[in-house]
Amino acid sequence: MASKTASIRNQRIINNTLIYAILIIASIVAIVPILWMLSSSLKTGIDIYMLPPEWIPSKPQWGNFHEVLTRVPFFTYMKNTVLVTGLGIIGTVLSSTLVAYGLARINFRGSNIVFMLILATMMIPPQVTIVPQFLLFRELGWNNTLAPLIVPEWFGSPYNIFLLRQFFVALPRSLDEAAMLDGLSVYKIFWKVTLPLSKPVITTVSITAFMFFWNDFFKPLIFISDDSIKTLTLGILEFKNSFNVIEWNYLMAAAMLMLIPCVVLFFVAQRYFVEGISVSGMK
Amino acid sequence: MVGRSLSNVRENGNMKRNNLAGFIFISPWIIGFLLFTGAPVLYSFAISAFRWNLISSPEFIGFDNYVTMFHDSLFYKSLSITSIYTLFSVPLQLIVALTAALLVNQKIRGAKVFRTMLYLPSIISGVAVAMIWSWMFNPKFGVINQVLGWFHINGPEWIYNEHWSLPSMILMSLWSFGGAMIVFLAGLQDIPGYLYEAAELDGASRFGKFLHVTLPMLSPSILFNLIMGIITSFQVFTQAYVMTDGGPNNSTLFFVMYIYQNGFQYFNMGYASALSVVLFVIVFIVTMLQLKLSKRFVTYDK
Repeated sequence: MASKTASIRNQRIINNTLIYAILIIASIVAIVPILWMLSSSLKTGIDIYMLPPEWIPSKPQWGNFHEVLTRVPFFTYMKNTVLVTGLGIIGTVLSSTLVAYGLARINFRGSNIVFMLILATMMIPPQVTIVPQFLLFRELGWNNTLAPLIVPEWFGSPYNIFLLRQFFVALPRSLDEAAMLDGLSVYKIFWKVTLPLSKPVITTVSITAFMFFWNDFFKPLIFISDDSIKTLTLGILEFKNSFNVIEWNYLMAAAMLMLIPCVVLFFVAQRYFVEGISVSGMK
Repeated sequence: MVGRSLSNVRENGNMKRNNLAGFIFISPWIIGFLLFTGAPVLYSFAISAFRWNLISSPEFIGFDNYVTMFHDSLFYKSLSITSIYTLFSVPLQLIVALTAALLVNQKIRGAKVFRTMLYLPSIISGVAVAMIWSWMFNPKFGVINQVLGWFHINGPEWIYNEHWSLPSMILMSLWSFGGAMIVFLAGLQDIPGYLYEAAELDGASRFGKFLHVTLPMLSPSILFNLIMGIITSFQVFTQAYVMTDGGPNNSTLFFVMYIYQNGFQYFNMGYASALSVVLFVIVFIVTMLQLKLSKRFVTYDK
């Protein structure tokens, strides 16, 4: 009996060691690219081609960041990105919340069909509609402005609608019924009862939207050509293409600068990242 | 009787009011759908019947663009590249994510720290990822071949070689499995403990429990990750554009990349639209298949 418990304990120790070993290796693989980027961003143009590579640069080149900020109109790109991200988030959160509420809490004819349709449009790659959209915005004279990146986002985005709907469906019906007995209309219930309860999910959706707008590349590539209107992703790419020989240290510094807001946001609001994704996967 | 019909009238009124309110709430999406999805898809069908370079006026050519496509070797190539990428990247990512979730879900110290580290790559996306990996894939100075060199392995040229470029992109896609891992983790935590206890009483082995309890209970999460994975791999563009520009020798010419090239580099609006229509049809078929599949294989217990 004693030897049996001992063997079970041994088995558990072996198991745990194995689990730790795999997790540690996996974590290293996950983190190395980020450390490699950081390390490269602090090297001189010569040291970056040193063999074997130096993981911790002996003379960290903080000036690389300054070089990136001054060699391209970085702050112009940043301003445009902030504008698109800010207005995009406001638009998509407002519109997606409305639509999701309608689908989840109001019992109206055709709501299921609309919901299926919304899920189906999530499947359509943006490239499918890009030619007509380009032509439409050309007619409107919006190409080479930030409008094509922002305006379509004010009509609800399928993924956000989906996420919010999951949350609204799970709210107890009794809330609405009590408010209705008090004589509140659906619009007032939405505004005064549901929205205040929805802060967590709205935060989650805002974060998802932030990551999307901040990193969006395809639409800026299609719609924007003027340097003064470029967003960060597009501007940084131009920066890459401006070299005769790619200067990886500067490129890694640029990538770092672009990532900092995302990383900061992640560590400040980690809970919402994780929760949002798990809510969406629930059913 | 009178009371009943009165309440019927009221019910009827409620329903009408609900229909109106519902419509008002969803109207943003309806307008957006018509303007930015519905109309463009129809418009794509229309443009695909023309030859048009944006400068001269469009010339009607009927189905010629589709006939051209039929003989276009790059059309087939890009189609197979996107398919191969999807067939490998999506299942591999699911396996990696599920394994990671199972490990992080163990009752061990530091599980949260591991979860954070494994998730971290997923907050980096787009151009930044593409640039980091371009540099990591550098055959001589990149970190991957450096590490392989420790084990005396001569690493390949990765994205700079036409036989390795697509596998490189698949490999790179495995780095961002964090989102899928979190979905699996939530799914795992929703599985009630008594199911495992019951399986144990039946004498199920560890693997048996995984096969007969964990997997079926996770089927909604698997389906969700599968669908999200397919959506993402159909849209792969940024990596290919930034890292290889579709090369070398068109070995990473993803289908959406080919649409982009035709539309916005060669200005063949008609041909690009015809390709878009084909992609739309493919996406439509895949969506239908997924719906069928989910009805058959997904266990919902609630």
